[in-house]
Amino acid sequence: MALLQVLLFRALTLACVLLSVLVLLVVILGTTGFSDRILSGVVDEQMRGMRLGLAQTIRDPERLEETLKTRRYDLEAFYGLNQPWYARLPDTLFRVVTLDLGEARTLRSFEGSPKVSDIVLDRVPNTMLLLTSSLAITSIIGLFVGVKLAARVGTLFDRTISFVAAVSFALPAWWAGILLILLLSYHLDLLPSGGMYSTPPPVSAISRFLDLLKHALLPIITLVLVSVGPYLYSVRTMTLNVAQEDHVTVARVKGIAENLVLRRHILRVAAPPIVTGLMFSFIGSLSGSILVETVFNWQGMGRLIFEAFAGTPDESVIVALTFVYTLLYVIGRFVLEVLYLILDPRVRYT
Amino acid sequence: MRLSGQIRWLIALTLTLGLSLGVNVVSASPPNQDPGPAVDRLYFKAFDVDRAPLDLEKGNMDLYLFGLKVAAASELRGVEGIRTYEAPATTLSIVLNPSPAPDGQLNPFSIPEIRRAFQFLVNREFVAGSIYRGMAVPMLTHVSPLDFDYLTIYDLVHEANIRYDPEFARERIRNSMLENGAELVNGKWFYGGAPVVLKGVIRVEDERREVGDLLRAELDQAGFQVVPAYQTFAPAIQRVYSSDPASLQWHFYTEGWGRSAPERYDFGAINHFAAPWMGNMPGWRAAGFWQFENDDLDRIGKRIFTGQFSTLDERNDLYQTATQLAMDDSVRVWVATVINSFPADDQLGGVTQDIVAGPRSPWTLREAHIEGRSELTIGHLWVWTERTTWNPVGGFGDVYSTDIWRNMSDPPLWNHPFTGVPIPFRATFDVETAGPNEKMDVPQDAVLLDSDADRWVPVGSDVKAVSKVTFDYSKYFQSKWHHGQPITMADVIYSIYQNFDIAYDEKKSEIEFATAVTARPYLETYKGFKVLDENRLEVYVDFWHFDTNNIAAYASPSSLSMPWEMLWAMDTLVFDKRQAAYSDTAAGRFQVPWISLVMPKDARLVRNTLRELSDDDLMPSEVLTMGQKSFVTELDAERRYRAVMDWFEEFEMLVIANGPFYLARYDPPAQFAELQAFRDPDYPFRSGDWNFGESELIRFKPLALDAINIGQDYTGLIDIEGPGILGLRYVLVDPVIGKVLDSGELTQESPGTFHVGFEKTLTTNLEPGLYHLYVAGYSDSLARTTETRIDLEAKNLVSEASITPDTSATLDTKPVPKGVTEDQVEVTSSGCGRGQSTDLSYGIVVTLLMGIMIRRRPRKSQKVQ
Repeated sequence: MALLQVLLFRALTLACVLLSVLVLLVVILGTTGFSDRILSGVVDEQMRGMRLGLAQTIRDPERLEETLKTRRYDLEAFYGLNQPWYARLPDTLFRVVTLDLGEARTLRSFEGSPKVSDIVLDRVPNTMLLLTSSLAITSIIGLFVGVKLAARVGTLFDRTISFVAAVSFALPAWWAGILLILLLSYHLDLLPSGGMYSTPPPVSAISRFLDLLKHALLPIITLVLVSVGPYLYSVRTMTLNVAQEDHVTVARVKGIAENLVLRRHILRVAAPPIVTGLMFSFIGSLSGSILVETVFNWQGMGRLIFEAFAGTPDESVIVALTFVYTLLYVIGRFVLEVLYLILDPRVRYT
Repeated sequence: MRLSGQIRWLIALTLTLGLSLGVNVVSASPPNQDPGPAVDRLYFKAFDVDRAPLDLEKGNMDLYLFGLKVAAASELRGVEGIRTYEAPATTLSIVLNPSPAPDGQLNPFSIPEIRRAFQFLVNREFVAGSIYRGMAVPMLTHVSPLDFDYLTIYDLVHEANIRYDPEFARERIRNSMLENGAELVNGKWFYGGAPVVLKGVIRVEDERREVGDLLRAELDQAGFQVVPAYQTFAPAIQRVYSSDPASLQWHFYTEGWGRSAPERYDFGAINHFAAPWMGNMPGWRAAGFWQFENDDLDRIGKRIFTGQFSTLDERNDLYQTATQLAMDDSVRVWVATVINSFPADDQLGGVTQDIVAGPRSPWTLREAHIEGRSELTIGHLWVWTERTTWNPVGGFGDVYSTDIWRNMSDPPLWNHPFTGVPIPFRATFDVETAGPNEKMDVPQDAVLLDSDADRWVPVGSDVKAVSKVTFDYSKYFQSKWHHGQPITMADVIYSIYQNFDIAYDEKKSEIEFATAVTARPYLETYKGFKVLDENRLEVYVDFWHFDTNNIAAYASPSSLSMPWEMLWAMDTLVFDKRQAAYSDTAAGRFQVPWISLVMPKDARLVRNTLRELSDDDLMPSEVLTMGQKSFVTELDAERRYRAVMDWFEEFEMLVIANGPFYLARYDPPAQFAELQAFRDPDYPFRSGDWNFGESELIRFKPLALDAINIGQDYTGLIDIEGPGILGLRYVLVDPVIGKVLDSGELTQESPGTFHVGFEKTLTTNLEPGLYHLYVAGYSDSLARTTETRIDLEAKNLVSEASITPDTSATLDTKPVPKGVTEDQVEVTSSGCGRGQSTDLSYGIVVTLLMGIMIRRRPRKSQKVQ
């Protein structure tokens, strides 16, 4: 019962975090004038384009001005600029809290839907294929090799891998991506240079998926290359720290088999920080990578976030994405709280 | 002489284009001679602009329709298997914030004299030659030196004598700043004890970053503290165009403008780029903002805009005055016309190079082909964007969709790729006009739409119109829509009805408010329609232009882009069922989809609507009856409905048009579209019909002009080559004082040969020295001019003090006569004004003396040693 109460309290705390982030976002968007500015910018840009277009047909200057004025009112109403931010933004906030992500002003899904949920659902699978797959590969390699390294500290293998890890850490993903494109695509002609499908794209679902996988290979290799080094090195260090603790020494003195020591006394204790890292990496992977997606012309969440904030700023999408990622963080945190209990026998909530 | 650099780049451009003309003739024959396009399939695919050259080299595409960055374009030159098509499709300007500063502060650009001085701080030759690596032409006004209207302001531009002269500019700035109470402390300007700060918004996506840095350095040297803000598109336009100029969030901004098609007689650009009423000058006509004003420019600009002139000369006078006023304001300072590069496989044939848009015109892909291949892959930056919407009423707002769509739909008229004049495409026309001052009677049986009753009613008596255009649509009606149904007058009538009804029907205009409001002022100028026979339609309109083709372009009432049953189904869906909307704003207001016919979901809505109409045996009979004649039968309607539904079953889209290609696949996640050839045997055009190729540009032949003898009549001949009827305009400039001494048209002696003549009343007043004769060639077949400069020496017959100019740097070995240097061939020695011969004489004497002294000195030293 006490455990449930504690978890409930944690859940409430995290919900407060979620709300606070949203309120803070709305207040910042509103009070700084950012929200009004981005919307006005969109309206102004449309008006300038429209002025040029209409000037081809409406040759009466007064009529042109009247027409543009009316059109501006229409656009301002469309973008909600006819009401102040404190009337406009709270509505958006309450809506997203009820899991209605609303509709984008300028962005669309691949099927033309303005619903933010549709737009996100278009992009998340693409991002997962790239980022989450590479995270999974990185994690498997990292855990396997990291633990092995911890058992062979100071050996040539350890020193070599540590060096490679440093190089991997230092490589910017976009730069590695460009190098790999030049090498594997343009010079060796092994993999596609970018985009998500071939020309023309396959029609059947299976061949289309295989084509997608083929196009995903190069970005996945890039992402694994730049992330595996630091990850396996951190696993190695965490495992090593635990391996040098007293309870491990006692276990070994007791004559417990090394495999058992590793599983029960080292890995289980080292698991919480490793799982924490994995969990947050997973959540992070869902937000995509702006640079890698740009380099590989991949239509994922990273590009969407960039578009929503910088490309064609879209207030509704900004609020919705902030909500989604904060919600994911909050859920991740809560899952971790539970996992800590299961993984580490020393953790007890009172 | 500073202008020589400008001329140099003009010449470089001319040579580049000329050379490309000469060496890139691809003689491959198109793979298909049946009606329709040259190839059977076009694949459109998105490629990143930075990697496009590599993809092209690798053979992943055949033509890239998005302009390359300058560095990439330069690297591609000379690469085997690739050629680049070049087109002056971008212009660059610097907009200055002229708003006065609050009390206690000073905005230097609020002072016209400082804005005018800024013109002399802009090193346009460096921008064109170094930053853009020769792929740009310096600009002094909103009219590019390549535009036809450059002739209109020719004298004005040369008389202005605008050049890169930082010393001169700094002096003018210094005087103005001191007059306005600023102080120069340690080389920096202070006002009220505080440094004078200029905030520059500098775009970073392209070479404008370097242009901005160049300006920053010049302004810094002029004593201003410059704070640059390096920004991308969205934040930059928010800061500049969405802020009150009086808040001084910016002082200068590096603007860029796209150009899409040639225009022989401009009416919009002068207003858009200079006249405040048009809303593109600081203040942007936004409520509550400080506004830049110039009533004279507004008044004249509106006259040009509305066609309040009776002759071309009157129009040109107005244009010159407006341009002069804009130069006096110097709020928008022009920098360069950038030559965009579109790379392609060098085996690609059939490319029409529009003189402004390059290969990105409706002509190219109908004819493009590579021998032995039946398909082409066309690269673009995007195929699908978040703003992509395919509907003929409120869609096609992005260039990527338009670049695909224009290969699927034949317009009635389109601007000629070389002359910029509207020409018949699939409709022909006859124009009668009573304008500009008179009107003609509109026949009583001509009709207009009664939008309340949804039927056409006679206009009645005493209705008059300025012009009448008779359109002949027989080339449409001989063929079919993509779904196999014949194109008929019913399609024309319904599309006219749709335009009018959305604008004037109370219910419809409330729903599609934006479309209605923007259409009404244009539609009001239509005074009547009359169907003459099964192919011809008379259109009465209140519009006049001295070029009758422009009247036809204005009066064209229907683009005939989609069959009537599609338009009717969409209208029913939007206005009766309220399940979709044509425009983004209506879609947002009513929470319905913004209809896009490439999206299966939206297309299904249209299909379902049509199925219901079909099931109920409905058709718009009233609307399709004009002048007692009905243009539709039940059988026609039923066949059409069936064809649309079949089309949907096959393609899951409803893009049905009438051009040489139809849309077979559209795949947004793959950024891909596939177009297949429409091979209807009755389609009126086949490969070769619209292949304009590349325009022959005007070229000057080697010049042989004598020197001017002061006090005597002067004559000479200039030879040029080019298409059509040629003309030459000239300006004689005294480069020392920057004054135009004489200007006008040269008379033609024989085809291509023009006579230069100055009477002795002019030559008597000349001082000995060099004078600049600028000559611009033009043609009725080309909306582009070619300019050259000839340095003429005036000499006194008595003293005979002239010298032979240095011709050692000429590109060819043709003898250049005494007294003449000519930029087109020399492309070199600039910087000499009148009196240079004297200066040069002194220089030679001084050099000789120094040489003698230097040779003597060692001897002297030796003596000492």
